[in-house]
Amino acid sequence: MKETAKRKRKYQKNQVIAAVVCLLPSFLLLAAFTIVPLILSFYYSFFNVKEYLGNTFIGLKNYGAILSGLQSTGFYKSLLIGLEFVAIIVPLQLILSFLIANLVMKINRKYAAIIKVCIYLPCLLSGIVVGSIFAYVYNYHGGLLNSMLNAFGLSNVNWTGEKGWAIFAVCIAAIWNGLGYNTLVMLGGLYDIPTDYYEAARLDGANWWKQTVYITIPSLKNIGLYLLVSLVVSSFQLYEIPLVIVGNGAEHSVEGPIYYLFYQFQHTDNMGEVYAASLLVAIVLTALSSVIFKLTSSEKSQD
Amino acid sequence: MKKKLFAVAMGGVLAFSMGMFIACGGSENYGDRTPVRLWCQPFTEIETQEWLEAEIKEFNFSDTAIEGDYYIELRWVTEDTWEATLKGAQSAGTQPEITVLNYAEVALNSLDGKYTALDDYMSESCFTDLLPNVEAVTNVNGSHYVYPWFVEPYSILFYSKSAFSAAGLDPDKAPKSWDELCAYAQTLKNNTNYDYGIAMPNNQQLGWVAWGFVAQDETAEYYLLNEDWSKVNVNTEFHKNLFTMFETMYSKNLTPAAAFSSYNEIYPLAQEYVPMALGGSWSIGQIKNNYPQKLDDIGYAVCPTMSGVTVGKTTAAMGGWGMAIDGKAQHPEQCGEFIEWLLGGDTRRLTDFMSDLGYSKFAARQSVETALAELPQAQNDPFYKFVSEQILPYAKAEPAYKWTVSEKYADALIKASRGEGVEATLRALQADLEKTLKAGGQGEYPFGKN
Repeated sequence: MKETAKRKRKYQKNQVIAAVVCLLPSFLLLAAFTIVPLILSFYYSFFNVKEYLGNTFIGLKNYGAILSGLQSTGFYKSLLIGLEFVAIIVPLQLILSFLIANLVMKINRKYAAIIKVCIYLPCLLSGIVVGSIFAYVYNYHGGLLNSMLNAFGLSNVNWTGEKGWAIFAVCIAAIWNGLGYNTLVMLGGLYDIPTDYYEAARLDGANWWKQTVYITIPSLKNIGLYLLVSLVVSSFQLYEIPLVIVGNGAEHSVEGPIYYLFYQFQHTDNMGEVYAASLLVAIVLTALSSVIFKLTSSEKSQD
Repeated sequence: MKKKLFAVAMGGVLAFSMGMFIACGGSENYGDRTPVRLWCQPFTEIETQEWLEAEIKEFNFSDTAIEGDYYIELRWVTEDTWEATLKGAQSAGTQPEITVLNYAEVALNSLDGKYTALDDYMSESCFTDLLPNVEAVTNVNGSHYVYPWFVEPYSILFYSKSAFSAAGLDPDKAPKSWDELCAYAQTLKNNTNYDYGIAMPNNQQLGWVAWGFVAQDETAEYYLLNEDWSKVNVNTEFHKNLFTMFETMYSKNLTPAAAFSSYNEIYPLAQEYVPMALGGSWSIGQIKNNYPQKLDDIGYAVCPTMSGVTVGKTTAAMGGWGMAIDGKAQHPEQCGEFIEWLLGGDTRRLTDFMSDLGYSKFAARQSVETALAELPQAQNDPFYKFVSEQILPYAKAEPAYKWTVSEKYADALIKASRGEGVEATLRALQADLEKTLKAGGQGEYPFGKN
């Protein structure tokens, strides 16, 4: 009996060691690239950080400068632009990926495979490459889109230079880039719904719309929540595509929060202000995610 | 068998690629000598890169470098990635010891301790040799923080003589006032096959390109600000007229809504996308080296002014590049030695450079100017003569105030161009800049330390 308990303890100890060994690399990476930088950012956000003159403690002045909008209203404007990205990209991305996933479910396997590959290919491209492709599409002088307009006798549109168009130009590129991943995740969710539900519904006379509303959408709640949160966060942080397609043109109308941070990093004399702004952006993102979880009551997840 | 063949083929491709990488990335072997890092942004003209690389190579094999047991390690860092790469390197302590920078960056960065004063590491004669207006740019509070390489004025008007003739305009008579510039652009658009009359700068480069226009304002004390940078001065007749000229150009489609190229490039004119373009003195170098067949057809004139008076007054800003020693350089003596050898020493180096660049860049030193005056090639070059006599003597050094001031001005100019109203835009700009100055003054930034 005693021997068995000893063996059990040894087994448990080995299990703990194995777990620690397995987790250690991830923890070390997380500590090195997330936790330590976060702590340092917090610390330095209270300083006037000058690489050559040394750091001076200034208390909350960096936060005050950003939040008061005295020096520039750029921070608030960037948050609003981030929300604009969310408002355009998230619903369109969710609806399109849902529709395409349903289409893939319904059609012949061979064609479904072709659609899946085609739609997933843009996901393999980095934001910089996507930006470059769309910069050509939107080019004022001889770009694909304006050439098509010209073919119909219409004059050129400054897609990336006018603030009214620029935000849509960026969002369309971002949707194209992310559609494949979201569609595949949605498709995985659709495959998990038992077919019995649909058979029973059909026997009861439910049409496609009713099946979608009462079976498909509720069954996809967890997947939908995951996509919603990840899309809100990624759209809010959209940076590479606007940088390449528009840059700081179009009256700064596509400079979201991460772009703002990057710009400040490049041009500020006081890096402490950038650290403070980064933490404020992180707080906004956490708050945004919490609101989504609250609104969707995610703790009551469906099996 | 097929798998083996595939593996061998892939191995071959890998080995070939690595060989190519090594071959392409290979650098000169300077043994155990100490590297002194020098960073520079690539210039639009390839000849500048070629010249700098050749000179550094020559220096690294010179007795000075061998006896000093060091060599200059050149790295090209693109403009887009410059700030991010530099800040990363500064944090890691691997920043360049010598930086090639434009003059506008010197004053504020020196006050921030980013550069070491050159006076202790270079001969005094190097500084007494500088032309007075260039010396003023390099001197911050009595010390020199940058040693000039060359100067280049902007804006200058370039145009196609054949397009002028086709439109019924005299190819030897360029527009002189802003009103005339608009009228010429309209005539060229109406009477030729060109879709537009002129290429105007309209992107964020306007932040610095606009300095060329603002330098013309005779009523201004220091570009957009007053002498001690405590007041803003943009809601004036001069700026109203300038904004109106831009608004006219865009509202009448005399210039494309989106620029064909960056302001640094003259190809839209050389490749006949537009019949007129504004550019810097560097533009003629691009035409001479890249489009020699167009040289006879390209006319040039001083940038039009508000009043139309273009003789004996400032029509351009004076830009240019020089070298500075980093504030934390580990080998400042070696840095100073190299800069003196390259830019402060033998005038032949710089006259060769200016010749390579088609006399599109101009001397910053008296002795180089004298050497050029003795070169028939330079003296017979009409563009060199034109800029030296009509533009450079009156060109104004770029403003040294915070970039954000210039950026806000450019934003306002773009807004006015898009039809948001000249007067309203200027009023808003005045208020915004006043707020910026107030905030800057409350911090420790040296507004007022002009």
